[in-house]
Amino acid sequence: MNRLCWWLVDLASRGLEPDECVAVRGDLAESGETAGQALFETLGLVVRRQAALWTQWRPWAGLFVFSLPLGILFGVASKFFAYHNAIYLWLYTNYWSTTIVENAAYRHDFLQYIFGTLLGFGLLAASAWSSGFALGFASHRSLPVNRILFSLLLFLGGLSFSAPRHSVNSVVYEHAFYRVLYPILVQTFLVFAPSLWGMRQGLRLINWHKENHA
Amino acid sequence: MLGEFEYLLITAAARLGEDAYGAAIRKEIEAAIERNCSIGALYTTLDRLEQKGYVKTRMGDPTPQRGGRPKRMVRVTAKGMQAAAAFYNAVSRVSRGVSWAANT
Repeated sequence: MNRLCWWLVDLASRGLEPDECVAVRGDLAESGETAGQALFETLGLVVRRQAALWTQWRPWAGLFVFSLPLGILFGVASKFFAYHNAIYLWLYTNYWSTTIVENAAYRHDFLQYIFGTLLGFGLLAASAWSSGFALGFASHRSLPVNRILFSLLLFLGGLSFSAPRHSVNSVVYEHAFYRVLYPILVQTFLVFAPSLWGMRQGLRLINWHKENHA
Repeated sequence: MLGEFEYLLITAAARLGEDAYGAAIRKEIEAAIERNCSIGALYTTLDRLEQKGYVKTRMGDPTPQRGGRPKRMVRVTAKGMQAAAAFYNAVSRVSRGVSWAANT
């Protein structure tokens, strides 16, 4: 519990400016605060900083220009991609035979599927990274709030887009794996993780820029 | 005119002199007001005072007791001392003759 609390303190203090973050962590260590008190104090400061920040127009612009539209867009796009891709994945896993690689025409189709899927995965991950980078760079100090909203919209926004139950491919979506788990895996590994990485890189760049021009 | 908490912070920093930094100022304030002083209030007030030019801050050297983390050192400027003196004088004047003031 204690370690979890200190880990949360670490996590919360990342919402502060780098200099303030180390000074506050040092003050907490020196004062001998308990983990619970330290968490309460750190969250108090983060909330005050964020409250002051959101009285300006820039964080709101970042929210409405980046976080909200991108969260919804990626939520829907990744689900659409996952549902479409699931049809071929289901076909190849259920009807796999050596003929697919032996027959030239089947092999061609199979390789086209593999190439198309990898290209789609790559494009989705790259665009998620780029959007995350732009969000991290533009939001800067309001990133903690924007990150949470983007992530929520990514997973919850996609809920409005459900699997087509009454189509010719409805047999595919009768399986919970293709209907629920596969889209979540695509969203997590091809959008959520790359976008978080991009946000981190964008934030690093702006911090580096600030340090070198201070 | 300074606020009450701003005055407490400037006075604690001035009393500590070269040793004025976040945790030490917080300890001084807590001893004076006999209740908890939150880090949030301390650091946001410190920023406000710095913006007004009443204090200057810089990052100090890391110490082992702080887990190798540096202190945010605070120095009260001449403008800050003037503002604190003005606040103190105003409080002293307005307190003359009241039952809880020490000199009555």
